[in-house]
Amino acid sequence: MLPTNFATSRARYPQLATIFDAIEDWARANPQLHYLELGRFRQAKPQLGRAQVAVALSALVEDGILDEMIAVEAPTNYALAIASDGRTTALYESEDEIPDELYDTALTRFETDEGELVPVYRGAEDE
Amino acid sequence: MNEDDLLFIQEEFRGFITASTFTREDLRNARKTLEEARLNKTVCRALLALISMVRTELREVGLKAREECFRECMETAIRIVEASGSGNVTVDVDASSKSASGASSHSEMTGKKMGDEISIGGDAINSAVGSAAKFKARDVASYKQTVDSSLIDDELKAILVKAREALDSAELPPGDAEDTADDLAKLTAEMEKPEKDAGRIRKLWGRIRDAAPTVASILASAASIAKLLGGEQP
Repeated sequence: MLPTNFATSRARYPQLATIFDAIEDWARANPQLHYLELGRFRQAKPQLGRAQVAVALSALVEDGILDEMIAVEAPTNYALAIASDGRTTALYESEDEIPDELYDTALTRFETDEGELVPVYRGAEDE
Repeated sequence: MNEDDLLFIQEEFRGFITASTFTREDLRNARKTLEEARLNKTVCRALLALISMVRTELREVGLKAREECFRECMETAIRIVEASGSGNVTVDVDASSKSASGASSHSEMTGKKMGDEISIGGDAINSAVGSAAKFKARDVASYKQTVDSSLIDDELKAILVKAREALDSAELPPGDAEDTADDLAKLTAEMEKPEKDAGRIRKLWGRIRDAAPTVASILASAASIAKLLGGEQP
């Protein structure tokens, strides 16, 4: 589960309290997920302002609560690509680590440069 | 920060917003662009997240809409970071170093002079950055989107949108409708400022009341606006 103690970031950005609440709610509602996918989160919370969400997540990364990772959306179904083990979502710390080919959720291979790079966020202690 | 400055920054990111796919190369170039602009770290990270949100959420929408949305979000994000007291958000644009590195492969440099410095100081939050321009939406949906991403509290957001909807249904003569929409945009921008100018709010609200009493009445139902209007009520 993603961390839910955002006290430091809340203190820096009290005006983003509703965003931090929403991230905490989302983490609690999705305990099986060890990362927050931006697109999925926004689908669940479309009422939140994009700028506010972006700054809140950025603050959580800088405060050492979350790590920003990179995933690749497959061109076939826009779902996040699967790693070569055929099971786990492929998350990378840097674009340089991403292999040239990845798999979509149907395990169909695609070229990484045909996919869309997106940021995802996981607990900083999950490394 | 004036309109030209914001446009300049927007230009830098245009390619990243409109490219058909955001690839590894794009991410490298976006990072380089941010690095060279020497933007505040929180803003840099937020802008990269915004690029992704705008691209994926507005995938089916026109490129212009994507750009406009990015611009509005960018302004808001910068103001939030500034308001947190994390220091001034300064954009130090050196056109010559960008051209030499080729980092801005997507961008078409504007006529900005080399070494221009764009800075948003604390005072600027109350002035140009919070200008009414961004609230001058063509339709209710765009206005709602802009208000939603603003720093205005939720109660007032709902009332402003209701007022905008009422204005659309008021069937005013075209000229009056545009003027009133402009006044509503100015009033919205004023309500977003930390230090609101009550005199200006009263003046704008008075003009709206003269043209569209129903809209003015809806606005006055917001506690924060009513307080600024004082005894002046519909």
